[in-house]
Amino acid sequence: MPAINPISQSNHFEFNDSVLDTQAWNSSRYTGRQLKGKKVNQYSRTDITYAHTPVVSNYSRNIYIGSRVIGMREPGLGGNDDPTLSPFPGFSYITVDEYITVNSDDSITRRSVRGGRGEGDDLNAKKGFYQAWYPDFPIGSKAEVKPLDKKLAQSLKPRYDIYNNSGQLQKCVLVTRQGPVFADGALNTVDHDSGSYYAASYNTSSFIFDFCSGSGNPQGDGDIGAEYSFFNYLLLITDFFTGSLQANPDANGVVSGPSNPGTGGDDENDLGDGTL
Amino acid sequence: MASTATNTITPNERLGRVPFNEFFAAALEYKTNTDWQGDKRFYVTFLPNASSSFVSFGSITDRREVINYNIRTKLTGSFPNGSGDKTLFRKKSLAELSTAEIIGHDSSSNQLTLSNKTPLLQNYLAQQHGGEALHNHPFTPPKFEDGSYLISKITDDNPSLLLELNKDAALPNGLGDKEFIVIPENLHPFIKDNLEYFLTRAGINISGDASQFIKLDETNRNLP
Repeated sequence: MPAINPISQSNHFEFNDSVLDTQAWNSSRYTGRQLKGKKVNQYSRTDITYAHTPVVSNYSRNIYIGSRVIGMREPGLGGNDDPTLSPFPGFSYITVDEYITVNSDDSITRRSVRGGRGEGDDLNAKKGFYQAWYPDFPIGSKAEVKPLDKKLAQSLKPRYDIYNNSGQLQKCVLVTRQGPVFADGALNTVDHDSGSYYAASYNTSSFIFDFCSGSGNPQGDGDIGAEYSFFNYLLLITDFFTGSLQANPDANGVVSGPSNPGTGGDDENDLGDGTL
Repeated sequence: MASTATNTITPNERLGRVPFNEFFAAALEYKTNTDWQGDKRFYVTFLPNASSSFVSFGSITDRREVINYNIRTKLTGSFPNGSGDKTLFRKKSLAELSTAEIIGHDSSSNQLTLSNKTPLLQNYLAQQHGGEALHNHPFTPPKFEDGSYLISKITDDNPSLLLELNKDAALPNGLGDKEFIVIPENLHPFIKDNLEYFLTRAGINISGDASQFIKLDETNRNLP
């Protein structure tokens, strides 16, 4: 006995396949719903969109009020505006501490990075400020610096690439390879060269930076063959570290290393040498 | 922040492996145990060799002066010899300045982990090590022969943008008598068309007596 087919043929309707190729059919199903855009906030000729509007819009409504331009000069062209900073010659930090938001009803809201009512309030204000700051100025995007003094002589570029947005880098510790130590009374005779055991290597595949060889320097226990300098010791480092970085001497070790330690004589306020 | 004395201390000592590891452990613990990590982030900047033929150091006798020079990866000597596509070393980020954030530390292997969010653009290998095979390699890039580096800490009390803006050349007379503004690349066109209007409404008078006559340009108001 044949199986009962619940579906029976009907000859009352027919379908014209040619409509499948029409814009009206497609636009309501797939092609018409698919938009393609090359850039945010910009229309490109290859975009698939309505009229000439950008496919994706992401506009900021914030204007930031600048407070300082901190210049960092090329060597030999003068000191940096702020000697606490790690120098990036030819660059400047543009600092900001307020911004205004233009709301959709054209009203204005003014916000500051400082709360002004104690430490907790300051931190909340800072967190709120950076929630707007990071999306408005992502690394790799551009920013316009616009003086409001129309008579000011200036040659600013229309826009600048943003290399970093997270704050200002302040120098802490400089590490350099230790030079060879010469034997007393024997010019050009190397007593030992702990710097030959120095290691500094970064690998892009692992994101690892090795700052010491496995065994260290046999001339001194844990001596990694380097000299070091502190910067901003009282301003920064004592917040989290108050110990010493000195290598421990062993029986054959020499801890008073640099023959030319390069102390003093600059524009900074040296506290002097000594064990920390 | 006002320009203050930097309290430089240059001990007449060699750097020790154990205390240096303790330093990094303390720094990263300081960053971890806090409500806000923004001002407790640490960075490393790789610096050029003071005696490199690629860098003119003039009459420098103080090794600390090396911090005033950069390994700018788009410049000759700052990327590996024989590199084909040099555009790989142009990144418009701290990576182009041979700088990356320190996000981890392993004291048992004397290693730091650097951030992969803005990864460095190349290997940095100091002059070959005399002893172990692990470090017995040619140096690269040429400027990193001696393997000097600087550890920095971020301060974020004043939100800042690092721009390649030569202040002396671009602003020879400073910023003038009035404020300046910083505008995001994606500022809404309607607001950009009416900057003076909205700044005036915010209490920043940049047009003097004419401020009251500024009219809104409505052209781009209804952009999505």
